[in-house]
Amino acid sequence: MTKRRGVSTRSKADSRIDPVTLQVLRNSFETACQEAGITLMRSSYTPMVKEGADFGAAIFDGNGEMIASAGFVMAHNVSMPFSVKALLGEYDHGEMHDGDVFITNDPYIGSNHLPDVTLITPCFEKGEVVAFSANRTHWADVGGMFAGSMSGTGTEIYQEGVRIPALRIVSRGRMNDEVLRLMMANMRVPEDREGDLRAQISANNAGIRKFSQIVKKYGKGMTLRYAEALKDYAEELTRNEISSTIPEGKYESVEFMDNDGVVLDRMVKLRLSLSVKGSNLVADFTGSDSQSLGAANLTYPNTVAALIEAMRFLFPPYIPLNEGSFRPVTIIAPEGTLVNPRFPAATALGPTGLLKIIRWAYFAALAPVIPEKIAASEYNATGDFIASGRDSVRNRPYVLYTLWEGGSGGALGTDGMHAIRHGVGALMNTPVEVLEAEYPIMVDQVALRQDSDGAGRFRGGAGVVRRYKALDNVSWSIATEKNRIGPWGLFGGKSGARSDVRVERSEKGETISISKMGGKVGKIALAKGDVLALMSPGGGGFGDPLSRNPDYVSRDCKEGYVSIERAKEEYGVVVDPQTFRVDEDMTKELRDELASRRSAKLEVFSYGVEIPEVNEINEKARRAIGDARFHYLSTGKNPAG
Amino acid sequence: MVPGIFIGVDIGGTFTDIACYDSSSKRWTYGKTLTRYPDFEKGVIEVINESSNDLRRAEKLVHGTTIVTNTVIEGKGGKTGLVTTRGFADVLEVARSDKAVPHGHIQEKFGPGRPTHLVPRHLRLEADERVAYDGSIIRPLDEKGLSSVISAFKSEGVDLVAVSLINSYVNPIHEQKIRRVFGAEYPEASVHLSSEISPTIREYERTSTTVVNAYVSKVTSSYLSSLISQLKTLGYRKDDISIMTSAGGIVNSGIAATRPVLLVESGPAAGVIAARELGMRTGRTDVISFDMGGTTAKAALIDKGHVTFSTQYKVAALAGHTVGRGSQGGGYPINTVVMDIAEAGAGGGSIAWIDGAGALHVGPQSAGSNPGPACYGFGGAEPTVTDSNLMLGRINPSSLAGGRLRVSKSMAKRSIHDKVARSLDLTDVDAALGIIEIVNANMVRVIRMVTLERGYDPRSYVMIAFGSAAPQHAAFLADELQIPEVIVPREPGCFSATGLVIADPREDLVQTIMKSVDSIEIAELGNIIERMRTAITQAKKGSRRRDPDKRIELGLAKLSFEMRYPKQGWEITVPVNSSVIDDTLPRLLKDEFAKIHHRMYGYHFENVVPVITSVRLSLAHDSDGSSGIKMGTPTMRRARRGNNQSKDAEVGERDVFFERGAGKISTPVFDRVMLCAGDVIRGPALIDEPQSTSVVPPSHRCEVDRMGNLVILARDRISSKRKPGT
Repeated sequence: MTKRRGVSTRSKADSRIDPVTLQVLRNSFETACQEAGITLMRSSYTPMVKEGADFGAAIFDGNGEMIASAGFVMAHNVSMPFSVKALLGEYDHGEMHDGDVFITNDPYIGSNHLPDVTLITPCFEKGEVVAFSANRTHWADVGGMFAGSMSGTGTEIYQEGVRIPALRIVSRGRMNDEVLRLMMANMRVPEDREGDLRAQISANNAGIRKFSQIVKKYGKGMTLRYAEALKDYAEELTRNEISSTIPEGKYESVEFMDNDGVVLDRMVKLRLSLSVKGSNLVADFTGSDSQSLGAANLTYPNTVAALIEAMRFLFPPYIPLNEGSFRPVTIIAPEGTLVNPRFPAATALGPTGLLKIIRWAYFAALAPVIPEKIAASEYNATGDFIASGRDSVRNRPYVLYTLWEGGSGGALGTDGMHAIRHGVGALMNTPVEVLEAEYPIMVDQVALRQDSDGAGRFRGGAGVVRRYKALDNVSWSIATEKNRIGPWGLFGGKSGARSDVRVERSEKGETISISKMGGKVGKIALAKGDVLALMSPGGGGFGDPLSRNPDYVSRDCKEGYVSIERAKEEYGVVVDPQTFRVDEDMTKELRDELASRRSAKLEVFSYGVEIPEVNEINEKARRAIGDARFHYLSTGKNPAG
Repeated sequence: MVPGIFIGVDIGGTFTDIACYDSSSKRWTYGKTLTRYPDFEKGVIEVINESSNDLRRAEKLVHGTTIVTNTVIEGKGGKTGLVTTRGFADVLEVARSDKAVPHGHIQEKFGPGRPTHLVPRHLRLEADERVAYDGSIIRPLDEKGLSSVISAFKSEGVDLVAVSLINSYVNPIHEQKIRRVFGAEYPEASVHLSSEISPTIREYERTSTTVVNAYVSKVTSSYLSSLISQLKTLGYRKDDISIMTSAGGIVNSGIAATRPVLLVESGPAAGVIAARELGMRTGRTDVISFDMGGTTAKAALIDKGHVTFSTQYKVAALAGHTVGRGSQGGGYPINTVVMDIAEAGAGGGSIAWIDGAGALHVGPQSAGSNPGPACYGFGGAEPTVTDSNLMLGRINPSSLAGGRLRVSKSMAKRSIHDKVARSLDLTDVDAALGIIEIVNANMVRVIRMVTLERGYDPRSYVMIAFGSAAPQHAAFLADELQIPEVIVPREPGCFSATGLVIADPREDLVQTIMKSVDSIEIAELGNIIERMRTAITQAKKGSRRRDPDKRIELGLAKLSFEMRYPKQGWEITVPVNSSVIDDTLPRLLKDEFAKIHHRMYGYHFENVVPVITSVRLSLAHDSDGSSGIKMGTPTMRRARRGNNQSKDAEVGERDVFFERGAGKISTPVFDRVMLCAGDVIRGPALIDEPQSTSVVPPSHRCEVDRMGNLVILARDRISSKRKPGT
């Protein structure tokens, strides 16, 4: 058994905590969050919520500390305590009443970006606030310069939509109509927004109803004592995982965004230095770029969320997600940088872009240390696609927010997955038939993108091709990543194919490459018949593609994931186009030739393009791993001799 | 009713159960044997043989089967091809882009990845055609182009073909044409159309349904015909057997073989049917059906005599994830009417384990039947719920599985000591009590899912508890949820098999219609209902009359509508409690919808007109003379005179632990077979029968009703409820 480092062995201070009751109450708290979430999903108006489950739901104690949360989208949950605490900075318990509901979407106090709207409802017991139920979901529009409020082309948050500080939207059970009217007057398709608002209020009610039952059954004192114990429990589990899975040391990485949406010719650079000592983890972002002119910025609460989420990916899922699980982590995010911008920097792309870049910077830092637990990069390409306009058939305005899926990276022992969603994979895509039934768009194709995999001993998963044909005038707001560099391959694996986003004009037959325009446009108008064609990246490969089992290559050719030509070029495998049999002699010959032709060293991280900072990181990583281990990871063989 | 015997055979994960009703003697008999893998029919034949019923006298045999689920889990279906609209061959693989387990970024079979696809990519071929969302044809079908598809399938040996085209739920014409072309060019192929199997919106789920149907069809039909022919060699005189559907209906083997997706929850549905029937027989229309076996606990709600249904299910998913869309929890989504049964990995075999911070968990992993709980002595070392119950004195060591298994209390104790008590620094007894407490909390969650989470208050429902493990836990669960009474039927381990015998032949169809309530036309609805009626081939031409434009008489059919606000994505089921529908329908639906929406979500909109996404027709048809079979009125001794507290059924006592710190309580043990109607037993008490033990906790009491059911009540609730069994 792994020896636990630095974990205090003290028995928990409170001897009144019984381990069985702890689990029973934990289940009850999580059920409260689940009920809130399910209520929201089932009654919501927004495809991303009702079909995609893009929301978070959690309960908090009276101090705004998160007690428990429910699955769905973790990034929403982890930054939500900041919003609840910010609310408590504005109103103290005495100013709250039974039946009040509060609202905020301000990223600077805890929201992800403006479209993510948080509703917070205090739970009263005998006239006192004992807890809060809160949920957050992505509204399809909250006003601003372009439909969908997700344009990566803004330079100030004022351009991105209505900013709602923490304020009371429902007072003692009565909707605050004046605030509501002000909000709705500044958002597109207000009737849909109101539908979402009602669904969110209803979800919180489900949460506090359940919480009140718990308090009635166990009493306030005991409930809150166990809430406290649950945090300690999550902390202890997290500390155990840190100390038993990550060796002590300091690990560095660098990750990039194509650009910030405004300055298109410069990549945005993130630096991460991760120190593990005992059961503590320090993530230092010093050296990352200054806050961007465009919308690449991620406010501090989200930087915390990104790091916690990344960390939890490698830990078992039964660790409760509550405030206690954050305690072992320290974040150093210098003010004025990308990861802690000063107001009023634009932030629309932070949660869909930079947040995932941080996740993969975390994995990259650990890849040389715990290579068996880390996959090559997933497609990690943001992908906000927002259609808007007036639907002349249904005679109504609309805003539609959709995402894309892509490949995940290969890992030691397994290929990447095709067509998965970023990160915590509870998010679902919107069915073609649902989309066509409600919006003036026809989908021509949803297919896996051949040859988009990052080649490797364990290849990346395939990206996806989607073609959206406009049946009316449709405006698209687009933000994508990985137009310039590919998702990194690992230990000699190649990077996945880059994004390829185009608009095809039906009338003139011309094609406009959005990818070449930096991958982000605030608004591009399509006429009837024009097509928005999306090709998402594949995942990075793991290990040397010339070491891939030729039978796997043959199978990939037969199933059409990989073409016969590319099997030759990248994998050095000669496959018969009729029978898909591998010609073993020719394969050996070709592999020898390819191996002798390529440059001396395989890289730890491969982005498909030369980047000076990466060279430096590669050198360090290579030294840390050592040649023999690198050779083994890359080829599956021990070095000759 | 025709004289003869009526047989129900239910295959479960561990046991194959039988219940037989002899209409001449009006007697019920029951039996149980170990389930045989992979030749399930052997277990069926075995249990029939052992039940010493004369198959020649069989009038009807109803089967609850796991064949569909097992075929999918084991990947043993037939070689299947898929035809899609051009551009959409990968719908099956892109799926809903979610992962089986949200955490994690590395693929594993049932880890964060997705289950393997039932149709490999080179067998997913495209047809050139396109239908729009409103059913209009954008590109006509290129029939000639199908030749290459057909020859590819032929050369690959694919003879099971699923066809799923975009928007075919609105206009099925191209799918039908494809079948005609196959009929002419490749008549040996069995062609499954998505527009018939599941005419509902969402291409991935519909395609998945159709593929699963095609994939298991051959295995299902050969299993059924093998079973029938073996039954015949034993003297079974009928040509066919009946199979229970997931909706609790009964179909013949022909329909079962062509539409096997109907059968995924075959056995569990039978349990709910039985619970509903028992409720009706004892005057209770509001019932929570609770079933706990070896690996899972299942709960379903029966409200005012109506079972609730779900139209989305995932076959081969992890327990707790079987209802819903996408890939979460793994499995293959199918659209089929399934009783809304919530389940969790909580059963007698659920394993207790300790996590890294020293907290106790139970399940969802189960020791199953092999190696089984530690006390079975088959080599299982992990402590289970059954081990805990045994250690706490709650079950009879000599009665597990009808006395077929000799269990060892010391092995149970050792596993609990080694794996739980020691690491938690608890006494063995407290550890066992902790395991029970946690598994009970997990089951409370399951019951909550079908009650509180759907807006129903469990305090106004009665729990009917069955499956051999349920009677040990039911009273505790009821206390937790303040459910006023618990009913344990006779032979709780064979209760689902009983449900098979008493179920009415019934079928369900769903058709997507996607219309605003205000624009629905009664005449058009009439046509849809007629088409659905015809599609239920077994349906009798029941009494019905249709007067165009005005009213539709439903006859035996029951109608319900799936409705939501225009921009919502999840429907609410609105049943129509009327045998006639006419112009008043839209108003009625709007009112009902608002009422239900308000109950579920706490609000509704006065000025937003809901849409009807689909209509569901459920048609009962009594075609085989089995109706009128009454549930087990067992041979029971007459009620005793006087009030001797059932003393002569008391056969001994066991030391039982009920609560931590409370020590053991010497608890009287009763033999259920010797109990009489009207007997009253004060808790604490144990009531043993061949396959199960019912636990009556302290401060509860148990009454035996006229049917021989045990009615367990908490003492503080006794005064407020009506007399049972009246």
